[in-house]
Amino acid sequence: MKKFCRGSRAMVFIVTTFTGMMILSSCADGQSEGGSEAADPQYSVGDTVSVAGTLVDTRCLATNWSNMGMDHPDPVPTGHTGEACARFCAREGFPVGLATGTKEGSRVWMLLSTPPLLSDYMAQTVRIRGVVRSEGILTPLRVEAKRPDGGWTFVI
Amino acid sequence: MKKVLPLFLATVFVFAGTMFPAASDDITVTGTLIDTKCYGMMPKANIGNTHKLPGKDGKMMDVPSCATACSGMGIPAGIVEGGEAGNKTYVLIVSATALKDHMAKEARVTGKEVFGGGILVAKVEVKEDGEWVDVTPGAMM
Repeated sequence: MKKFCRGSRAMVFIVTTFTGMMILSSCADGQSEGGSEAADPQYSVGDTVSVAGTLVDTRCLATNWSNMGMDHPDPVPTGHTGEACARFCAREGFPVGLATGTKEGSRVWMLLSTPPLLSDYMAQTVRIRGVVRSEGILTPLRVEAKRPDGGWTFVI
Repeated sequence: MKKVLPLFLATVFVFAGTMFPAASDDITVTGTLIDTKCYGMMPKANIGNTHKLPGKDGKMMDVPSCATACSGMGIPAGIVEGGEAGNKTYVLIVSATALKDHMAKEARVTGKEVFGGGILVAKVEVKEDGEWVDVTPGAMM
């Protein structure tokens, strides 16, 4: 009987610890990416917002989150060279996005602007003031790119 | 021990389910192809190919083939579900220039919904003479 009780307590302890770790882990994930539901601001259609992040090529990023930079390890279509892929795709007219975090699942705003105009700033940190058109879609009013000296350069 | 083990396994399964959500399947949306920028400004006036824009005198003027011109410049193409202004709109992740000749047409788009408002396009069809015609842009690289 004592053995059974000890075994039960041990199992309850394991279950409780495991559950607690999972909850803490999910909270930590949300904080690190800056995009958890609790931390991520909610926007309404028509709101003018200011957001900052990285300019991304939505086509390749939607396929593989590792395609966040200028060069893509897994470009679309598969097998093609991924060097400067983000710039190439923007010049081809594929929609440009703004990723607000680097972690997979971070919010990505799709920008209703002319992609070739942003092609030279792909994979760079930018800040954008724009109007929310619908969930995940933003019309930029002003785009600025961050310079190495910390200042901001007007793009559009 | 026998009573607690199922509880432990159930807990593991519940959390495993939340950790690995099911992959999203393709969706098919039927509606009208639009130039997202002009449509976003005035949905009712700019769902067709001719758009209303402010002229030099401040009055609204008609700009013929505006959607074709905008998508030709690379402004993202989109689809308005059901073809009625104000309905759910998706931005198509595809080269907009490749769809410029199909703006304002009735279309059927299949692909994966991404980023909350985009479709990673697998297939685009437009209705011509009552028939669906495949106009999916080819690989651009």
